[in-house]
Amino acid sequence: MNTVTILLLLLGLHMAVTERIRPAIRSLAAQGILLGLLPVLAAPGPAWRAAGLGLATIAVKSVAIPLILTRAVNRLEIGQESESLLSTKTVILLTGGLTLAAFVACARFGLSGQDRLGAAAGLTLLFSGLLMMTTRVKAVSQVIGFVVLENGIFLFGAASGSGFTLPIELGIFLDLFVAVFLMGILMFKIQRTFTHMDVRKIHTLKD
Amino acid sequence: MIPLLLLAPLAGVILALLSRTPSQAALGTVVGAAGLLAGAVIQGMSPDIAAWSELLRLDELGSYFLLIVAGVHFLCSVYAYGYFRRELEGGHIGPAKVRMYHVWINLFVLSMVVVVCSHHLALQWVAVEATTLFSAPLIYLHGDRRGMEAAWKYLLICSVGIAFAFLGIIFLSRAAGDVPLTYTALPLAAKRLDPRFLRLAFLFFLVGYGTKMGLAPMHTWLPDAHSQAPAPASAMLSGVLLNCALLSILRVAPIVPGAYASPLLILFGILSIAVPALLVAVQRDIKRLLAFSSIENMGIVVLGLGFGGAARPAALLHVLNHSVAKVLLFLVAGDLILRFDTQKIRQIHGILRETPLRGVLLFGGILAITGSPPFGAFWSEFGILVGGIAGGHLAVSLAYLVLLAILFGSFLMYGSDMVFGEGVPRKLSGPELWCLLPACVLLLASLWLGLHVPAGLYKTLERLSTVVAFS
Repeated sequence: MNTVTILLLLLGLHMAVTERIRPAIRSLAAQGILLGLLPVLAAPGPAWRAAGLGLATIAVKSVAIPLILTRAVNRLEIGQESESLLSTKTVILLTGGLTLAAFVACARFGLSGQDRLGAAAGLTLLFSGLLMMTTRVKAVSQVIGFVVLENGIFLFGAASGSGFTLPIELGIFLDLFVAVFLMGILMFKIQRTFTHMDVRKIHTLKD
Repeated sequence: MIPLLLLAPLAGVILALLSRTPSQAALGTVVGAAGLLAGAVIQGMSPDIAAWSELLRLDELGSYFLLIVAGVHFLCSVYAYGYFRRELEGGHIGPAKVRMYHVWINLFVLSMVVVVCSHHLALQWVAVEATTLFSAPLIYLHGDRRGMEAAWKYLLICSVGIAFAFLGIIFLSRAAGDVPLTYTALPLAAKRLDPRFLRLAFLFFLVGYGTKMGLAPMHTWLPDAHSQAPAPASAMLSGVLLNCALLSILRVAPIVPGAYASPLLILFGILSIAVPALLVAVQRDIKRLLAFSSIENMGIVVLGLGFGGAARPAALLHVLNHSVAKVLLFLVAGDLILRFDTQKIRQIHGILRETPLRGVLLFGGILAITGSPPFGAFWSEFGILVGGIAGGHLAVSLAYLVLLAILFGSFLMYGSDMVFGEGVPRKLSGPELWCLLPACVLLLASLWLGLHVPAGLYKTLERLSTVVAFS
């Protein structure tokens, strides 16, 4: 359990600092598989529920979403670099600071042992996902940031031991899948009308 | 009853998919909307709570919000029939896109029906996220760059907002221990919940669902999204979707201590009135103007809930008053945009001279939305002021009054510019009756709510305000 959490955290940090899109998508897919193991390792309840949850997680997070993103990268012919508004050094420093903040916050909230590691790793992923969404320039990287944020919340929830009935959990996955799917469609459409996919350049709507 | 309520919009989806012409699709939506409205009225008159499984349950609070959704959806579906015929005749849109509009709008309504019927925190979350997903295609229906930009912002910002609300659910489930997260079980166990996690949960709910509700400073997506969607969809987004996000916050109120929640609500409320008060003065686009007014009105509702006491039923009444007036304004604005072929306020003038009915509708709508007598919003805004003063929030009440006066002035200025003055003759465009009829109904409804708040409604609101009171 702890190994899985630490691996998730490391993959998250890799995505936060890497400047290349394809390796980031591969890390995202790897995170999906690890998250799929979580319910099997830790979730309360019957085995079929854990198996169902695990399969749904892997199907959505490590197959469907990375496929959508890879297709976007291929078809849109966007470059390999995921430009950021910040320099790599700043990103590393910020990510380190956010990781520290996440661990301190969890310690102050009196979470203990295994719980604390999972919750803190989850919060770290959430923070770094937010950072990616706000500082990355390309739409694909922003979507990756969004999925990292969702993964963080998922890990945080698993560590806090919150579980819902299977239909609700599946509903949550369906929502995430449709959200990324729609973002993918929008990326294609925006590409067609703008002939570029640089979010900096879309600012016709202003006050 | 609940399966029937879900079936009505689903029938609309199926009819739209089977339809051969845009008119058939529109008719399907009208049929589905009429069915939903009938179901909502029958359920609203019955004293029983409708329940379907553990997860879906329609109590009086849900019923009140459902009636608003169903009423607005019915009027908008009638309007959409005429609106899209005119858009088609004008060559602004293709028949395939009109059909897609009807598919998405019915799915969107379906997800809102699930929101109002949800009896479990997590199911409610799933449904609220679904409302975002089903309404995003409506925003970029026309397929132009502004629409896609607005939809991208909407999808990303609201999804992140909702993700925060999910964090709130995780905190709440930690606070609740083994108490199920249903709206009957939680209030019964309110005393046993861990207060630290409870406070954190409420904060995340407020920020998360507040993003979806358009509360400042998380409102940045709203003016874009609401101004880019086609008029009937804008009316639905402003008139009923914001209410659904509000309902999601109201649902957890009974377990949250008021001493913690009230200052937060007052802060977000007054901020959401102040930001539009500063920004409406520089608006050039009529639909953006209306979108900013939605932020303001959600602020008024949240402020009223924060004041508590007498302001609470007034805040619930304001939900209805805002929906009626705002939907009216979006419908009239959509008609004017087709007629003048522009969204720019400065290019629309002399409406009263050219077409007196539209002049009356627009000016009436502007008076109604700014809370002038004799329209309904006057009573709800006044009630919130009284509640604020009675609750001892003198400074905030004064600020509220000043900001409302500024907004009233700005809106009156825009309104008189558009309504009065020399008219520019425009050619008629398509069947206009279907666009004007729903707007007339809404103006009369707002007037009726202003001249006399029905005793039954008042009693209901009093009862509901005890349901949404903080612990």
